[in-house]
Amino acid sequence: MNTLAINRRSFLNKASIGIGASALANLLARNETLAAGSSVWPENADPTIKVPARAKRVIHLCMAGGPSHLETLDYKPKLREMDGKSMPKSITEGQPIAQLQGSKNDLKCLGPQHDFERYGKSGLFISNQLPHIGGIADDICIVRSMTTNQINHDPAHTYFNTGTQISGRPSMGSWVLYGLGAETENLPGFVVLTSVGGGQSQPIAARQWHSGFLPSKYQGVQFHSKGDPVLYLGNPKGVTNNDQRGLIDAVNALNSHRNETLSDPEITAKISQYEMAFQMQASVPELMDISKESKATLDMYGATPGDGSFASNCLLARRLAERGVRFIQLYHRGWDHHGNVKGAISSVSKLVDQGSAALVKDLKERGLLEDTLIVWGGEFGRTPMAQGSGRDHHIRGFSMWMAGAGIKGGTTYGNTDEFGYNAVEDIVHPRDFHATMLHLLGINPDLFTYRFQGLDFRLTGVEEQAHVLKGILA
Amino acid sequence: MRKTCIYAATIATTAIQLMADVDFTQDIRPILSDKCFACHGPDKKTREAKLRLDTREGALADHDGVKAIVPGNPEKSELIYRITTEDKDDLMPPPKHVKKPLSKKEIALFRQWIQEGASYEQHWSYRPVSKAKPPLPANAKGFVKTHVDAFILDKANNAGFKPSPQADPTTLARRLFLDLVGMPPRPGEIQFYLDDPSEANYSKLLDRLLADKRFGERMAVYWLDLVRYADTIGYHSDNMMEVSAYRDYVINAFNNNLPYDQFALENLAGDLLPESTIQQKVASGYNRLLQTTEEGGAQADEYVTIYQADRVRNFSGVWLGATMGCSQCHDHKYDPYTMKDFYSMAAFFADLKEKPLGRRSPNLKLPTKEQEESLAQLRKDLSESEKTASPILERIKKERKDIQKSIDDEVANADYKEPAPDIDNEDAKPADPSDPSLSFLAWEKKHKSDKGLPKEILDTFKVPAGNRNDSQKAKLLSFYITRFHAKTKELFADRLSTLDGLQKEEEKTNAPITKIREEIASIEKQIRTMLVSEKTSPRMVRILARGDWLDKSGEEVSPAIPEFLGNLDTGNRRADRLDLAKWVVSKDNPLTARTQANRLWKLFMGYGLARKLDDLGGQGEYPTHPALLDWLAHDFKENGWNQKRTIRQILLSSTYRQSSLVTPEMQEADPANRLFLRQSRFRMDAEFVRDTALHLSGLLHQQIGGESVKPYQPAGYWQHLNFPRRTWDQDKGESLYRRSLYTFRCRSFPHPALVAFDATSREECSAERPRSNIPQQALVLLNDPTFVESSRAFAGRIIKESGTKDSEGRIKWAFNQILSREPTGKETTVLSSLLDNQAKRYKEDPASAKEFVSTGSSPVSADLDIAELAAWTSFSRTMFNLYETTARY
Repeated sequence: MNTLAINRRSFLNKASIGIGASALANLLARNETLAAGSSVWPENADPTIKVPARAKRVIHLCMAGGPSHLETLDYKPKLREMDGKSMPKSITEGQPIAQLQGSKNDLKCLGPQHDFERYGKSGLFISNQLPHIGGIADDICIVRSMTTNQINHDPAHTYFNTGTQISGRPSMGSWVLYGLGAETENLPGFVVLTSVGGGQSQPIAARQWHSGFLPSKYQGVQFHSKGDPVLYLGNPKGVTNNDQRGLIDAVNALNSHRNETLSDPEITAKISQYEMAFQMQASVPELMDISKESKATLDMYGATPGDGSFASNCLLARRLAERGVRFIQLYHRGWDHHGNVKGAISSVSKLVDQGSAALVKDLKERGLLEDTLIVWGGEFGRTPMAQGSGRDHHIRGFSMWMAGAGIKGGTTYGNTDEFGYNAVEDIVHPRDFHATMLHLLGINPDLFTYRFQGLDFRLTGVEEQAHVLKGILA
Repeated sequence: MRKTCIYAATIATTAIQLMADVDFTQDIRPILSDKCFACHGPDKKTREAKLRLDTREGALADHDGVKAIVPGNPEKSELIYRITTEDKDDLMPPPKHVKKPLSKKEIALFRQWIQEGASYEQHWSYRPVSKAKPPLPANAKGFVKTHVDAFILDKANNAGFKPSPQADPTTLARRLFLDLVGMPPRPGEIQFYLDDPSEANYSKLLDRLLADKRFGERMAVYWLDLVRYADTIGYHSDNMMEVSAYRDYVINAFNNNLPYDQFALENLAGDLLPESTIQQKVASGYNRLLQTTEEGGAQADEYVTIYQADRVRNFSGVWLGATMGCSQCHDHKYDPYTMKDFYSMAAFFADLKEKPLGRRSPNLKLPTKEQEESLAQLRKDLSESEKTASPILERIKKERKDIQKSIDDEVANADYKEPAPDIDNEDAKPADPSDPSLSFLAWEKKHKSDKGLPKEILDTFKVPAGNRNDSQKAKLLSFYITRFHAKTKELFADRLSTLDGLQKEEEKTNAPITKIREEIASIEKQIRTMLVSEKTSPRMVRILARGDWLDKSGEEVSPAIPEFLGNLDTGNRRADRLDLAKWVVSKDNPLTARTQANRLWKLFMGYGLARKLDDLGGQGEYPTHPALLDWLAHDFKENGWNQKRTIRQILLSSTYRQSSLVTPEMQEADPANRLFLRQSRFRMDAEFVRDTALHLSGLLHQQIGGESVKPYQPAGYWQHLNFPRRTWDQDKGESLYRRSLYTFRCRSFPHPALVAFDATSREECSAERPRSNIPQQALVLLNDPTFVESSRAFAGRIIKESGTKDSEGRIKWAFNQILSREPTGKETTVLSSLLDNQAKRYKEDPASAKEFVSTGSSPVSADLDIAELAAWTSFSRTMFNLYETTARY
């Protein structure tokens, strides 16, 4: 064994930490602090990878199940002409298909089941089922050239949330929280809310907001509209807040006392975690109670306190944003329309249209829209081909919209072909979306990494180059 | 100030040694790997300028007169120019790809290395495991108890530091318990050692714990993370799959100290072992633990691709500490694994019989001994009953046949004609066609839905008359003639009655047989099942360009181990999983023993000797004590892959027994404890946090193995699962109090109390959990009914078992039970004050007290005073929330 070399190496380690000049050493030191679980919510985005930030927070309105772009955001008159006619084989051959596999030799076009109208000064074409979103047309940018790699719900969500279909990687909310920390100590920095209705409710797994290989403190925390809003938030039966406070005081006093002997940073951290837990016990119920919002506000969203609706969740999203939560994700699970796409789009639109638009308007009125990025869309789109009266999963072209911080409102980006099948212009992959989101948050997406299993992982993936969508930026 | 002086002195002494030879493995390869290999490494597809730096040959190659490295001549080496130039276009690594350029020190290292001849070495973990000779360090007396200590002390001496003193006996005893069985000691279990903390008693305690059945449970928690064991399929609907017998196999394997090589063979190829036992088949369930899908619209080919990649990732992580998953889409960028290696590895698993989509039926039944015995008894009873019944049934059959024949003959000859109004017939009164006793048609009309008739007759009625075949017609008519037709039925009455009698007799004779058959079916339904490996003719595996499953143009491959690690000599025979498993544990495999020895070290010392437990490859970390790792790996392998032996080697050392307290000096000099000159201290794993509370409370139900259980979980936590929608059907009774490794593991929604403490979701191989410190942990310990109920049960123990009514006496008793120590004065004061407050409060509010102590399913002992119990429950909650209660020091 070359002991001299080891010596010299340990010298290098010591020296670099001592001098504090090396970024590597800083990184190491920081990672070790993280591993030890420091009590503050640190900003982990290395200063060297910062770019000017436009957004401080993200609200992702996840339309889970795969909304049909053809009845919502992507107007295709040609498809209407082709209604009932065979889909050209040249387009569909060799392409992945989900449930239509059995009928892949005779795929028929299904024309748009709803009419589109021009909205706003910008005259964006939007489905007449989404009049409220039409009302904010001048604030949003519709991306019509989304693609993804995964054609089934669960892997596709995983792809959109983590940039890969392999489970166990951090979700985008965790990445963002890891990079920027939160601006609240009373609430988790990454919050997830869910609602259902309007179509089949596809299952959704906690892996969608998991922190993967990042420390657990960066995982999303699910808030519930029924029972404890956060798991284990409520005191045990027969225990008052006073009792709980007294108990926490005793725990903290004993932990501090013990720490005089042990000097264990974990204990110091523990003490602050008990404080935060106690604060959450007060602040979360306060947050979740929207009954004190003005009638005008409730009406704008179409929310009824305690109904657990998407509309109420949109209002909660605003309240979370106001309180410094970094990443807010709302799932509405009702967009899987294999049958009766016409009726189902109508019903689900009634559940999400008003709340989505109200959120943008409300944030704008409160001056929060300028530094909040809002994203509206699903894990994939749906086929221009009929599956009975519905549409199958589709990954070669679909739509979403974004609004707020740094986004050019009243515009569209990219296009699909005349059938709405393939994205053909300014094609956008989830990694490009991720890159754009990070860029808006002030993080250079190429350099924002976390080392795991010997590899510097990025939200945007380790292989292909992700592109910031400059065209959608104001 | 003093600290600074020591520090400066250290630098001074080591600085002199800077001129020592540069070591390729330690100094150069990590930089090359980190900064250069992505573009100049093993992956030829992304190789820039045709230059590779991962081999010496490549680095020295001549590119039109330019050489990256000219040994002995840094100035002529293009590499040095490239890493030092001011020209941004020429500078390497390209500034846009890295956060920071190479540091001055790194550049100096490259210069010196080239000056010294630019020698390359094989990556450390791919070299044969050497039998390292333990060094003979100075100052060995008092510290070196085992060979392990010699390695640790030698390095400490060289670095100029001393090991920490041995931890006090209480801390040590608790450490052994928490490390080996995952829960703290009961006072009686360690008293002999505390009374006499001799060497002999230390080993006695250690050996007791290695022989304790809880040891297997503790070790299984770690192993199950590696193999991503769970009770559900993972994707989409995330339905249940029955593989819990694999968990029990692992527990037993650790408890029985099954040699690791045998363990590997059984996991990878238990089904292929000659005359494999049931347990070996269960072990082969390892290959079925991956995530699968039942989603409608999933494509089989795509999921076959997903599964094979999953298996290769897990295989390489678990058995080799390698990251072969990287070579699914391209040659590995940091290690010599090629895409071909990846798909050749996948081909080993192509023989597994499995439905790529949809529900996968269990293919192994695992009756318990009782079930087997009951079944055997029932089958015996069945055969006896059948034997007794047989002659009776034969007779009945014969008699029935005879009677039936005589009836049939007669019916056939009967001259039945459907009556019609017949005015010409003067002899007889015309038959009335509307009289059911005279007319078949009238009868049919009347009895069309007569539930009293046999099903066969009613069914035949449903066939429109015109569509009935001859046999159907005959049967109906016969039924009518013999039973209903006024003119004929008398003739048959006796015989029909005899037939009825025979029918009854037959039913009576069959009754015991039917009953036994039902019992057999009911037991068979309860029999535990398992998904295990089953061989079928292997699927063809081809290299998928970019991992794309739609691309069918790639080269077909056969099973093969990674080329750079050798090849399997199976002649013309296609290599199978058993060959693979044998290679994994063969003498020439350098990775397996190092990987497992490193992980065992981590379990008991807090960190691996090579810190990246899941990657011993190029991007992993060079071991802090490479010779020690080799010594452990060699000792492990050469002594029959005996895991308990390796654990003893570690736990008997002074190194293990050091205090975990850190001095400010060492905190500064070695914050990450790379020298292992103190023990690690950390919060216990999620499972053990809960197990500890259950154990202390006395609620724990100790039972090894069994199907997974469902303790308390917040209502509605599974609301997002669908196909089908389902709820968590909470168990009752003792199943609520099993150790946490038996808790049902749902991959989509793992138990939230375990998740809060960093339990993994069991989706991918995990060799090391993060240890976070988050508010959710406080919420769980404060409010989860498991912990509230445990506190109440422990309060009951205090009142009944402490043997005193005096608060201070009780506090003392509780401290000893929970923390194995006496309380300090301050602690007693804080807790007494809490107790007084709570006693008063609950005395004044008995309703709240009652509510408080009624949390959980276990009954409250009737002889306890509720207010007193409530106050002591608050006390116990406080104790269970202390960091010390959940920590290992």
